[in-house]
Amino acid sequence: MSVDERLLIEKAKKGDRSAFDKLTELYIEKAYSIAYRYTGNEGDTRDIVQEAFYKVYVNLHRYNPKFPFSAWFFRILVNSSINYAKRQRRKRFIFQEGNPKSDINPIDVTADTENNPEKKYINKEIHQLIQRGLKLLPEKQRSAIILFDFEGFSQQEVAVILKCPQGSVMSRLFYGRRKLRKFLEKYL
Amino acid sequence: MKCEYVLKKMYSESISVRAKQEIDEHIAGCSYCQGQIESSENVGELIRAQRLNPPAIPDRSAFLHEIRQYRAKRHHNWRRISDFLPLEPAYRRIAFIGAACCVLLFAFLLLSVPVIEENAPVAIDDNEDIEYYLQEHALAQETDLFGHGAFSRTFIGLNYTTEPKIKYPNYNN
Repeated sequence: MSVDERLLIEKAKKGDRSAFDKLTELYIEKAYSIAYRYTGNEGDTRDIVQEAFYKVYVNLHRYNPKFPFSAWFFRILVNSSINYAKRQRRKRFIFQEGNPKSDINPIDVTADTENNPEKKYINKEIHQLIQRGLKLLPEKQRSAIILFDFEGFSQQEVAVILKCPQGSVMSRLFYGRRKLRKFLEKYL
Repeated sequence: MKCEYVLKKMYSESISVRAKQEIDEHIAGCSYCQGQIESSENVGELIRAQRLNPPAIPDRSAFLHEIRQYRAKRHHNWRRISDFLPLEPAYRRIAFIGAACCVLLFAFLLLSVPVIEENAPVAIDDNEDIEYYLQEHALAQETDLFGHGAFSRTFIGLNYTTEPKIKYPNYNN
């Protein structure tokens, strides 16, 4: 955590709203990205991010400066996302019957796609499939995959955010990926 | 050793060093386990490729404004009153809730105190008080052998002298 960030947190704790706004600006991209992985659509993502920032604002006095602010913030965000997904699951049936089987090799899409429209399209299709597969995973495995694979946190950081041992993170990643692989095999 | 058991215990932190060694040896010589781990890594790579295209926020500044608006709207109800409290925001809500609880408690106590009428008979001493009670409850007539009422017999236990009021003949003399 940088010195500036620490100062902003201290000011925000004392009621400085502009300091909190600056904190919001610092974290908004990452927060949006994580929430988007959970929901897969813009509207729900906006709701989750708003709710998470409000919770952070209200509970800022509970934050312990001994631990990194980012871990505390992302834990709130992940919990908000999980709760939101649960609520939505009760309301509607998430899984939609989808794409027909295609001949895409999953390893090919890791190549550079910037100048190749075909690969760009394939990449988009893969992304949608992964997004749908993620929704079928248990919450713990999904969170581990989103934070480690999508967002690039280290295993130690994921363990702190999810409040679990590092071994559990690795185990969740393994089983989550295995389930995801089974799902993707139906379509790829 | 069964492969599924090995894969389950592979990342466990609560196993012994020897068990860990056995698991590593098994994986080194088992094609199924190696294949499972490799396929897991492949899926990880596939997902990590998506990291290159993070979802962009459409109209960032408008979204930041929305977040501020949402926060203000949710905070609106209690903020106006609590802003007058000379405390840090962290403690304002606690102080506000505490004050509200105190007001409610005071109101409850105020309502629960019985109202005493001006013309109500007031006992001067203990005996008058007891007599008043006995009259009120029509217990004065229920006297026992010693001339005491049910009330004083049950609750007060006063005036019980060692000598009974009725004199029994002494047959011993």
